Amino acid sequence: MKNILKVYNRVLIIYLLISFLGILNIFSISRSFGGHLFLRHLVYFILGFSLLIFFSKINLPKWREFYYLFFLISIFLLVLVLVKEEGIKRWLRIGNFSFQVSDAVKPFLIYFYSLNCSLIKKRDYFESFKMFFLYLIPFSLVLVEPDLGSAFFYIFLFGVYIFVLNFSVGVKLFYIFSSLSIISSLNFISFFIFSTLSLLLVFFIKSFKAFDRILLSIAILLPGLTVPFVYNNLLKEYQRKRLKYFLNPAEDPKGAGWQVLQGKLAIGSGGILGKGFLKGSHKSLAFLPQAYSDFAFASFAEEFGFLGSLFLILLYFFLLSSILNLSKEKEGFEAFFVLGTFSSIFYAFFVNIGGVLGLLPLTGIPLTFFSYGGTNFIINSILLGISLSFTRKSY
Amino acid sequence: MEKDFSIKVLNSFLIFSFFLFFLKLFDYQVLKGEFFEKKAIEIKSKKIRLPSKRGKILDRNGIIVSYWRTGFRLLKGDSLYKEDVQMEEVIRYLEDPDSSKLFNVYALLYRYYPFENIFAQTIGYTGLPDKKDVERGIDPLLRIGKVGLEKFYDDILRGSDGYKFLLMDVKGRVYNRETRPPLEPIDGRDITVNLDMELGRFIDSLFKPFNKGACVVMNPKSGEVLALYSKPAYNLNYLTGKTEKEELSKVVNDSLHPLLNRCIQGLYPPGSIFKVITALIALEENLIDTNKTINCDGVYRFGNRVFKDWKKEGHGFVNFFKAIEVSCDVYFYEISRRIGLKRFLSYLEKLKIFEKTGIDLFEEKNGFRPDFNFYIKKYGKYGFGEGNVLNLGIGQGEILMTPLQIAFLFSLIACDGKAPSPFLLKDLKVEEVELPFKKENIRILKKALLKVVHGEEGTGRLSYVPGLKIVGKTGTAQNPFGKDHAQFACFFPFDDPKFTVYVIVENIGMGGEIAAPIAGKVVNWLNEKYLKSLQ
Repeated sequence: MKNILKVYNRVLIIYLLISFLGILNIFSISRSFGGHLFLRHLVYFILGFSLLIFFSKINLPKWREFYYLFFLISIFLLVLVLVKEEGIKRWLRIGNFSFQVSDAVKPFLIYFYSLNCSLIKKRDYFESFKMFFLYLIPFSLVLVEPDLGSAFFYIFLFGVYIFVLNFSVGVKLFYIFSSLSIISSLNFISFFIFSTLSLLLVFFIKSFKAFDRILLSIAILLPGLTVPFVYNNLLKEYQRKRLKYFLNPAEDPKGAGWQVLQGKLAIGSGGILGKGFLKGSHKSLAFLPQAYSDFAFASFAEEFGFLGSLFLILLYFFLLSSILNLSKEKEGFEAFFVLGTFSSIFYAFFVNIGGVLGLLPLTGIPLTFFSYGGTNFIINSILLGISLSFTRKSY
Repeated sequence: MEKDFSIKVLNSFLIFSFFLFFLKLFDYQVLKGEFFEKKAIEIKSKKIRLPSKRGKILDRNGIIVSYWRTGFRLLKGDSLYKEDVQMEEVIRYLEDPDSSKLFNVYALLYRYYPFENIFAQTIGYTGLPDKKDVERGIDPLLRIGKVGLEKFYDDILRGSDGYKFLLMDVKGRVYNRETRPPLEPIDGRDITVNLDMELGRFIDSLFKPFNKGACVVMNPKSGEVLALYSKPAYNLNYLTGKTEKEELSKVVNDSLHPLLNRCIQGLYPPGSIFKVITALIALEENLIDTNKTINCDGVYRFGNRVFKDWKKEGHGFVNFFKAIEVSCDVYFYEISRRIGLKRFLSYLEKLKIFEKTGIDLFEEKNGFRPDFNFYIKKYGKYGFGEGNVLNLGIGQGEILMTPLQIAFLFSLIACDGKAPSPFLLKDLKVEEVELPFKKENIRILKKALLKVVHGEEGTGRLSYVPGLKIVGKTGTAQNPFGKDHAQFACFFPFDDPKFTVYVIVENIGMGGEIAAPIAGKVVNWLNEKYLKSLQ
């Protein structure tokens, strides 16, 4: 009980620290992009923080009877944005108000998924396929917006849940092999090595039944063989180019590769101590693309140096491990909900900083609580608020 | 139980990603921080050239030979687009919003030559470095000397451009803030040369009636060269800047070869001027009594061949002095015969006057002296003999010399056989050259040469200037392609030689009639300007 209360305070303090650094950073950036960015961000923060406190104080009722409704609402919104908007269909506009749908539906979906997870009784392949289908729908809808980065969150979330749930080794391996199969298929040799080794493994583990072996073999071979087909026939030229440039950024003179290079230059030129607050020149001369959202971390790293950026990733580390610990303390729905919150923040942390540092492709995912972006800030504050509300109850 | 394990795995994944980021940040910011910082500054800097000044060239009296005028250079990105653009055109480029983004403009100093075509080939012009120059490290946008003094003293005259580095944003907008300390331009140094530009202009006026020719004026005692005049020339101002490309191709294709610096690249048979060498060899070898006469009836028989004198009716009885005064060919045929081909050729080998004088110009050419190998190649082993020496002795053989070499030969004679080589840069240290003849013999020759101008029948009488003792020799170089080249070489005053003057006018006729009067006017001009003030 005492421990849990401590978690509440700790998470709140870290949340405020990250938000404060984010506000400072946006202030510095907004000096070259116009002050309205900073003021808006401040509004988002106040709104997000209030909602966090609000949700952490109330007891969320459990609408077990119609929890499917949440799923349907989310799907409705995700379809609506596709139907209603033109061009890139990420933001849904209602009157003067617009929000990023893939973020906005997160509380509903995580609520739904958490309850769903806690209700799963059987732990076989079929049950996992049924479950996967529930994640595949929002994934596909977001993918066609198109928003690859946000879409993959749902696959990631599924992976986390499958991993935590008491599925058999065979089921878990099925999904692990499927994803490895896709990754290795980018190169024929790596796919060949992966498939041979994993097939050998499957046939030498004695506890596997024939059924396991057949399904696992499919997981090893099918996705890897499908990817080249999709790449050559279904992807558009620019999508293929993007993928190519990610795998070989040197080929891309002024696209994503150039952006990553500018990010590197900004981060690297920060040195150990940084150039000082408001003194980052790379972003003020607009060399840093998307300095307030995707590359907010790079801008911060330029001004505050290695010590500053280390401090920031340490804050995230403590925040995330506190959330993870909270989910360990909890059971059932609550544990899964907290895990969903963890996944949301961790996914953004990993994909955003990984992208800026050139370890992952650029996806356009903002750094939660730090980058500019209203929906993201507010929605994650709500998720965190709900998770923190669980600390008030003891089991 | 199962869940706790899974969460532990998730936790390790979190720790793993934290360390991954930690290492990457450490790499970028701590290990490669300085490298990235440098690169970032490079990307954010606009390099702006600060043009250097090329050194001026001044003549011996401090008159400007070569200095500057302002022009504009148009760059497309970082590479040259248009050279020497006028102000109006620059404004046109900058006012157009499309082209003003593409083009960069800066002002720099182009060469300006106030004397236009005077001594053009000797002074030279500037231009952009070619591939070879760039390979040896020359800044491809820095104009360098291409010809003449501009080229020879390029290392002194040429400066090096500097840069300043201004802050630039991603759209290429430049701010007035420096991103790193500027590299200051280093200006070239001025040089002073021995040329006299006013003399050049005067010589040019004397050459007005003629198409082709050259004139060399030097100080025999110091080696200073006051004039290297070559006609036709070209206007240096057209060859530097806007019109340089068209003008160069025009000049290259000109049938009169204005690019040729005749003073140092033109090879001419010295004609009768070369009799001074024949005379000196004969004196040196004690082959003649200067007072003994020879009868000249207009022809000289040698074996079954007949050699003609330039004067059909002959000069009558002439001794050494008279022979030089009237430039008697028969007398020199006789003494050439006495010298003999072998001895003559061995003297030519000892004389250093056919080599490059070493003047400070890259374009200088060697003269030509025949030797046995040359004759064997040309006529076969038995196809030549003593007859050849007769032609050599009067300067009509295969010998070729540049005007500067002939002028230098006269300077050597003026200084009794030992004189410094000719040079253009003020106070340059040069080596002395010595003729293989005794001083007494040279003095005898000089006394004889005095008669060329001052004798009653002297061939160089027309160069006479009242009150001046001038020592000279006419020459008429036979030209297989047309009329003869008229030449005259002289130095003065006799007692204390101050100037050597050599004049050649191509395809015009006799040296005494055409070249001597020009030389006389030059002598008079030099006397008025330099010698009278001394008295």
